[in-house]
Amino acid sequence: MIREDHPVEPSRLTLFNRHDELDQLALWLESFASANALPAQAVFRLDLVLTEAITNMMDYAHGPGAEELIHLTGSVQGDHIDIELIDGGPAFDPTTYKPATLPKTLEEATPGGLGIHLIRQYTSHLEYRHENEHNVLNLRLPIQYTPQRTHRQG
Amino acid sequence: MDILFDEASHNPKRMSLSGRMDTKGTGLIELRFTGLTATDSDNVMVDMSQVDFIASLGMRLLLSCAKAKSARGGRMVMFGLQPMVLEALETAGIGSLIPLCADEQSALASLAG
Repeated sequence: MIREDHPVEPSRLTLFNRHDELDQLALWLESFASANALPAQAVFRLDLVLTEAITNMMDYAHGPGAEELIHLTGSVQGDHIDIELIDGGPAFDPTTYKPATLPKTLEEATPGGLGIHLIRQYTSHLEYRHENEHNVLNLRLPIQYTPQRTHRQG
Repeated sequence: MDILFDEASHNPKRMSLSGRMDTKGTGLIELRFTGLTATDSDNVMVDMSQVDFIASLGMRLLLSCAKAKSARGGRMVMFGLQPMVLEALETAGIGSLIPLCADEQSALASLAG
């Protein structure tokens, strides 16, 4: 069912680029979900996508010297959630990471690449650009999501 | 995040996880979970019914331990997963690598099969 569009101001959060700040993300998510009356399933998927994207930034888009900040903006537009993540670390494009080739057996499985695979599966739109020395990641998540059959490659 | 291990259990070992299997939660249990699951050949049953969130780091821990168990000739199965956690694991492709059973009975049947 498509939600009636009740415009709510975009919600913003600024995090320091370190893992203990993920607690702040949890608080923001709770508030954002409540303000937009998001169903529990959408909150779970948003939580997962943001955890993966922001953890990637904290792990990889991190330069030497002073702490960098990560800026999050979220808004609900009808039947989807729009998220923008901006950080000032070194250029890091998560969308160019090679999609996981899903293993057929436990023996050939390697744990890497799961995060970006999950982000790709749950988002209907994923776009990166490097602008004014900042990484800008835009994601769009449908509020109602139909799991796709996971395709094996290779 | 917490682990409850049935000390009296032996092949299959039985344990349950509870809480959020995010970066912090996974870090809290990683050492103990690895020690309980990945260091011998006993089969393992993991009750996941009290896990209400999982991210890729948590999935990696499960995958690594299941692989180590398999390399030692044993098997790890999980059961009782909450619907969104199950969806996340299946979306990640882990459902086809580690048995994700509905309940304890089907987990036991999976180990016997």
